[in-house]
Amino acid sequence: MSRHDGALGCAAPSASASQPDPRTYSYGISGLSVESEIELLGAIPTAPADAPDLIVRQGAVPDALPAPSASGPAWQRSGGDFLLRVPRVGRFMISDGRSITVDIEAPATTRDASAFVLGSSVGILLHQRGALALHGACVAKDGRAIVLCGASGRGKSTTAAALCKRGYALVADDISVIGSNENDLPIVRPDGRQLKLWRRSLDGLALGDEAGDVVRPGFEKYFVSPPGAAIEPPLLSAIYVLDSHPAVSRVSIEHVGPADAMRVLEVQSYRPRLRRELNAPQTIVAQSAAVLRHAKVFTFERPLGFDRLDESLDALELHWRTL
Amino acid sequence: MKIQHDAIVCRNGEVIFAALGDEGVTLNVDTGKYHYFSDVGTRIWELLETPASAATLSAVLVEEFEVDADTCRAAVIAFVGKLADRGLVHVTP
Repeated sequence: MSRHDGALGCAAPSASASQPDPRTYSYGISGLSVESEIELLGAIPTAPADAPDLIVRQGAVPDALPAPSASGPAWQRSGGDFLLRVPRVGRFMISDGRSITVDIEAPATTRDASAFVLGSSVGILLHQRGALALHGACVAKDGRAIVLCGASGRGKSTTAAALCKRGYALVADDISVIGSNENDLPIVRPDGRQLKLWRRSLDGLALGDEAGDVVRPGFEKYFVSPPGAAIEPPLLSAIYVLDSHPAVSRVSIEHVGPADAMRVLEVQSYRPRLRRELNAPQTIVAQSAAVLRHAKVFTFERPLGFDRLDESLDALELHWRTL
Repeated sequence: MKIQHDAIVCRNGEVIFAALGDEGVTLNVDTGKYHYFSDVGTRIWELLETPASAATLSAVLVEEFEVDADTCRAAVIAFVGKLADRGLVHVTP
């Protein structure tokens, strides 16, 4: 993937003559500079880039692709084009790792479509670019990062938000893109987004005052600006796979051996089935191995409930410090 | 699988190997399973770039690792047998 982090810099002075178009928005998302015709809710605005890595526009998207090479219930793929259909929201064409065209279905609005641009569409685009995108939150301290993975509802964002309250910087909320630095060490690219938290998590963490807009209308998840957001991509040192259920009575952190860790990275990647559709197994193996040469994978089981949160965070911090 | 010491062992072309330092992992694309290789296992996999018998592999490994010839040959035969059981190599008697 591109190492161009243009969105983090400033636009050239000459650009101000023709720019800005009042209807374009600029963001820095997972290492990509983005220029969008629609406002992407929850993405943190940045200065415009001279040559954006990703263009998001509104336009006509067909209902089907000619001669698709692969397809699923809600998607089709043909060459460098990937068509995603979201009922009652619209169609999204993700092309060549460079553009996303959005065709909104009335009465849906750009606000409804925004979540699917930032979620599935950007995820698919990252796969098109051959990036390893883990489905998890990432926090960092002193230039070192941990990624928190786990099935939906296992508390990835809540744990990340709680660690931010303990002085960690938020790197990514939902999609942690792994890149490499000049020494070939794995780094995590900031997703440039606000955290998304359920109402009960906001209340449990006493972050209620910082809640902004709802993620999607009628959806009880809120955007929250965490106490500190990371800009420089930190080094990835560990990946924790979260699990919590009523039967767990104490915190337990276990190292995952290399073969199982390879499987974990595959399963915890963003939309793994679509990733296999878009990336050769050689690419997937090479991406995971590049991570595992320098970072370790652990399972992190902990009891449910906010009253036990501090105890599990203490254990996690202690564990991570000894790595 | 019991392997004869002179049987020719050949990598399954559908297996992807990745080094993790001295150690390694393989993915058998046919089964979707990952397998861990120690440093010696990784070295054997490297040597199998050219199809070879357990006897040939042992002859190289006794030079590189501190091990006697009989122990080495028995270990290589056992390891290659496991590779065959997991579909990572083909064996031609």
